[in-house]
Amino acid sequence: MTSNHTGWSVIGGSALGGRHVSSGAPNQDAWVTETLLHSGKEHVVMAVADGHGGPRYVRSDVGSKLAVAVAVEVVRDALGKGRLDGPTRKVDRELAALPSQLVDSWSTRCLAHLADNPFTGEEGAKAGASLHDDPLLSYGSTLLIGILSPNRCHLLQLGDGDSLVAVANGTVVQPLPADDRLTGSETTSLCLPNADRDFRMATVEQPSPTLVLLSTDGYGVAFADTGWRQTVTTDLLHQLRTRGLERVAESLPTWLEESARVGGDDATVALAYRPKARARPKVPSESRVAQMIAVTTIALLVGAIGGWIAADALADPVVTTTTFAASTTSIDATSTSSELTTTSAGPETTSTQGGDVGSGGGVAEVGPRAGIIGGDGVAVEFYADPADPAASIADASFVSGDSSSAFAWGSFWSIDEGDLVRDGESAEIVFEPEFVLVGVEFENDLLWLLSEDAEWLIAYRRDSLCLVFPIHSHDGGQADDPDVDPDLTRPACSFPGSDNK
Amino acid sequence: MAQRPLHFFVLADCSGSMAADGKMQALNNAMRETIPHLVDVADANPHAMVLVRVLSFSTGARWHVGTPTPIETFQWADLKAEGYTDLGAALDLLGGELSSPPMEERALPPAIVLVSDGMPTDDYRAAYNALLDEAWGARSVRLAVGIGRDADREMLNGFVSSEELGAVTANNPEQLAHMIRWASVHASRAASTATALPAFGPAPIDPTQELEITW
Repeated sequence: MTSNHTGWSVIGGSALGGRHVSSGAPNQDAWVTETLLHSGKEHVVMAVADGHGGPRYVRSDVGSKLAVAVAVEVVRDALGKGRLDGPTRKVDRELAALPSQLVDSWSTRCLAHLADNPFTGEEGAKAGASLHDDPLLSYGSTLLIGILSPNRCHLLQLGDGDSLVAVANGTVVQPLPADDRLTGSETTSLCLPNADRDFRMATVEQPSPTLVLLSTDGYGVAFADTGWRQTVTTDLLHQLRTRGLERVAESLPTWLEESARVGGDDATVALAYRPKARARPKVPSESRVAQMIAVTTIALLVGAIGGWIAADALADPVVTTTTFAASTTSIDATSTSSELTTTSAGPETTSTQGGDVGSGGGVAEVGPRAGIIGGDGVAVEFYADPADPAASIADASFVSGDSSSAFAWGSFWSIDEGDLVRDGESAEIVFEPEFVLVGVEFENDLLWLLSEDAEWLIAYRRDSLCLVFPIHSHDGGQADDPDVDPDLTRPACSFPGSDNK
Repeated sequence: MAQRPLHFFVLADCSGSMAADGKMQALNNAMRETIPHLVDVADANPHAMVLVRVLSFSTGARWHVGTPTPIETFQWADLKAEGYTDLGAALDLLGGELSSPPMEERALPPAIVLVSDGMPTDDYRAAYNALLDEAWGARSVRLAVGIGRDADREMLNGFVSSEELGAVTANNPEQLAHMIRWASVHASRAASTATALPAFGPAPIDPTQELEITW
């Protein structure tokens, strides 16, 4: 486990797959985490890699170790040159250059390893094919990288596995675009010709991540639940909050061994946790508002992949995706064959989610302002969907300041450590007392605020204060969550002039 | 947590010609004999759950066993022969099951064994191409067993997912049992253990049986 004063702590582990236990094969996964200092600021880099399992990939255990080592080296170099400093749009451009460096460095390191350790006859017999025609195939591996900078989280992924992010309110996000080629045992890989163009990349800026999970596919395939990304990440977050990181670190080997035994493949996880998200500015300017809702995804992926959001079932924050043309080459990671499947390169495309977030992979451009509610240091702005000038306030996005931020598409949102659950005409707020919480009743143009000391629930209508509710006790929180003050209770609310009772 | 599903499909030709010379009954017997061997494959791969389905095709196609059934509880119910050889209809049905969903993201590559004694009577090529357009169809492990001299070799060879291997042929009941067992075991083993299909078909079982040509 590593920790640093950026607030991130990283744990991880790897378990030998059940299939490898019986066959005597080594663990072909690798993981690493390192804290890098740049300009007085700490950055965390974490990486996992999954060496291919087929007989052809006789050195994939070495390939995966070299992959995670190269990840740290390339990120260190980028930080040292200041390439990850500056505005999001600039950093995203710099990030787009990392895959080619990663692939080049990995290839160089593999070939150097080969020069020192020529293929043996035993390896040739095991592969059942010539190893010398394309020696890098023998080292084939995936690579997943998380770069946790003070104000951003960058994800880079080549091949299968999962990169998951949870934000402070518990929402689980899968920021990277899906890759339809990752079906069955097939995966994109560092050992393929177009590896640099097959990387998928994302920058998550706000809401501020509290948990970043990188895992090889051996971890996920053991879960029968198709919604495991949501349930496992939510459970991990709950365990981290209730039991603490050290206890979770103690349990992690057992969890990984169970995945490896049931699923049969090596199972590896690197997990970064930051209990408290970064504070936000008191009153955001319009440009800052735009930044707050920008979660930028750059996908160096396959224009042909139309379905770009990986997990529709997950609650996604605003995501901007910029997709660049790339070839679509995949490999069967478990096959003895090195046959490649190649389809036509796609055109450059840009996709967005949420309607009012601009394209281009940088700061989002929000639509025309539809209304303002403010008072007592709280600034809230509603934005209509620019693509639909007739959109009502109920369709608007929503941003607030005052140490809180919110995102809403449609009529629901939740925020920071709190969780808002709507139930017909009433609403229930479950919260942690040190955070200001904000809720919205779009139908009634109502805004709910919770004072920072958690003693007052406030309802605003446009430009005017509606009601202030004192809070005396609580019955809506999670009973086993020690961060929730048990003396707080969900108030019964009614709003004059509205239909809510 | 749970084992990864390995979907095993049998595509059985139930055309009228299968009624001749005891071919249908030989197929039923062969499948019944194959089940214990598939159980062995499953036992050797504790991370895989082998789930069986059976498609029969004659005039049209239908699910003989449509529910994915764990091999440990699977029981073979006899097929009956009548009608044409509408392989394309069977491939259409199969293709629908190899979409994602219903295929699980965590599934192992599916294993498919095709058994046929004749020429398809519908446009199976379009259906076959559509099957391969499905991500799971393209990644499936496919083997084929031809029965007798009238089997469509070109079609069967084209179906097999290993170009170097091709389809195998059975000319009498003993060979059919041998070939179906071989194809079933190797297709499911290759799918579940990430090993390649063998480069060659099964070794002869008995020189005297090799010479005996019933079909």
